Order: sequence, then structure tokens, then C-alpha cells
Amino acid sequence: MMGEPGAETIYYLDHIVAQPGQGKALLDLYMTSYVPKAKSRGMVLAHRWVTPPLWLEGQSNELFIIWTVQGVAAWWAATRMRRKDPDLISFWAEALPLIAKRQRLYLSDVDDVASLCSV
Amino acid sequence: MFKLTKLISANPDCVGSVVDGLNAAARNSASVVRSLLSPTLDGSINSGNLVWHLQFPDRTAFRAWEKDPGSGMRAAALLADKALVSQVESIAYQGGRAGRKRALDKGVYRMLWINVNRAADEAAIAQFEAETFEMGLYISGIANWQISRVDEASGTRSWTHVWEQEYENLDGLMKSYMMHPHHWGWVNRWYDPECVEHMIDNYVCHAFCDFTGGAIINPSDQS
Repeated sequence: MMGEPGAETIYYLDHIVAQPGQGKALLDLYMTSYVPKAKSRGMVLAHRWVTPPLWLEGQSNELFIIWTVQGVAAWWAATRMRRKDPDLISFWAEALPLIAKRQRLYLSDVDDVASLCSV
Repeated sequence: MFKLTKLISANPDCVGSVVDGLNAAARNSASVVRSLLSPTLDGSINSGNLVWHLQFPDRTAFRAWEKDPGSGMRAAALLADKALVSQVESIAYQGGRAGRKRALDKGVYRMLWINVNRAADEAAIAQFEAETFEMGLYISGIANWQISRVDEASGTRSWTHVWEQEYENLDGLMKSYMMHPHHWGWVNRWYDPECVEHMIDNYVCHAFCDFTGGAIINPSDQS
């Protein structure tokens, strides 16, 4: 859905491949150690997706955790606060033993590309 | 072109003396082909209150200037005087890859000094440099731009790179550059401690100032 210029929805995607059998533990740690701090920075937790949709014991689950903020100014505000917060940064070190591979991506709706680039 | 830039924290009561002394140190040498000495503008970070940017035809001319008692040595003595100056960040470098959309006679000159201290390998650094250069191609407000590796650094960090841009006005920096998705949604990942690509120390110098008298960044001068 297209957003108003300056208030486009910006999405954060944490795509995390868990170590075999660690998908649920990883999600639990994320929810308890990362989510409260991120919410306090203005980020809104939109989705928590997992594939396959069961907790595997001997293989890896993949998590797709999606956050949103409204507008690039809000993205910068959250980013500046994130970078000053050692708890958010240290979470990734704490979670490292549970993670096989991960990626943090920033995304928008394709319909918002034109207005986002018109600056 | 070989460049020397200093971000100077002049003691507030001594700014006039520092400016006069540095201008004289630039004027007194035929080696200096361009000197910009300008107050940092509000919003600059870790950049003191003065930007001093000098250009030389090559490194040999820079070395000659450094050793000249009336110019480089005079500037060094002035900047080492703690009664006048509390902190100096300094970089010397051969100008790197540069681009130009339009010539500016005046505008806003902005630099970002960074310390790439967590790079996985040289390929990551090269990719970062290439993407940084491409910001100038994607972001309309950037009129001229250059990404360079630093040869000599002193100050708070061992600065490894300087990313220079020229804008027609502050909107170019604050709106076009800061709000463009090529910046926050792409190149930013090298700076973001939450991204796996993160490799740049979060302590940076973000300095910008007014300039007049023609462009500071000239693509024809790149190495």
C-alpha cells in the first residue's frame, strides 16, 4: 500500500537461519532480549514468520521478523537510538551461538519507491 | 591532487588568531593551490569549529609545504599551541575516485571521516568504496563527490577514508542526501552495528561548511 510522501512505511527484515534445533530458543531470546528495547525506539513489530511452520529438532528453521516505522525521519530517529544502545548491539553477540546465518534488510513497498527517491 | 584537511577545535576566544595564522600559512607557500578555511556549520559532529582544507599539486609539494618554516611549520606550531587549539583531527590523502554533475562556484562542502576497522577483507572495502561513489549517481542533491583512502591520519581515530561531497545548499545535504534510500536503505549497512556487513567504527567526523571560490572536488584530479 502506497504511503504518504514522508510517511511511507519502512520495513526492517531480520532474516535469521537458526542453528539446527534452535529455532524456538532463538525466537524466545529475540522476544525477551531484543523486542522490548526495539519497541522503545519506536519500532513496531509487524510479523514473526517461520519456515517451515513447525519447530525442527535436527534441522534449521528460518525466521523472518518484520518491523516497521512510518517515514524515513522515524527510521533515522530509531537508528540513532539503536546505535547508542549497547543492549541492542550486544543482543546479536548473545544470540550468535543460536544463529547459523542472518541478514538485516531495509525495505519498502514497491509503490513507494518513486516518492522515497524524490528527495 | 594531494589534499590535507584538518578539523580544528579552536578555543572560542582565539578563533580570530587561529584563522589569521592559518591563512598566512597557506598564503606563504606557492605549493598550496587551494585553501579553504571555514567555520563548521551547526549539525556537524566531532568536527571542532573550523575546517581547514588545503590542496597541493602532488605529495612532493605537500612535503615541501610541511617543511617550510613560513607555512607548514608555522601552521603546525600554531595548532600545537594548547592556548589556542584544544583538538585537531588531521588527514592527508591523494584524491580518490570522483564524480561531477554540475560545477558549483559556492555551496556547502561536507566530509565524512571514517575508520574502517572491522572489514572482512579487501573485497568488502572495495565494494563499500564503489557503493559510496555510486551515491553521487543516485542522489540528485550531490553535485560533486569523491571517496578517498587516507594516507596519513591523526586525532581521535586512525581515519582510513574520507567521503567528500558538494551541495548547492543545506537542503541538498539534509534532505536529498540524508533521506535518500540509497543512503539509509543500502550504504548504511556498512555503518550499522546490527547489520552483518557492519565494518565501520561508529565514531565518525561529520563536518560541513560553506565554501566559495569554485569547486573543491574536481574529477580531473582523481588518482
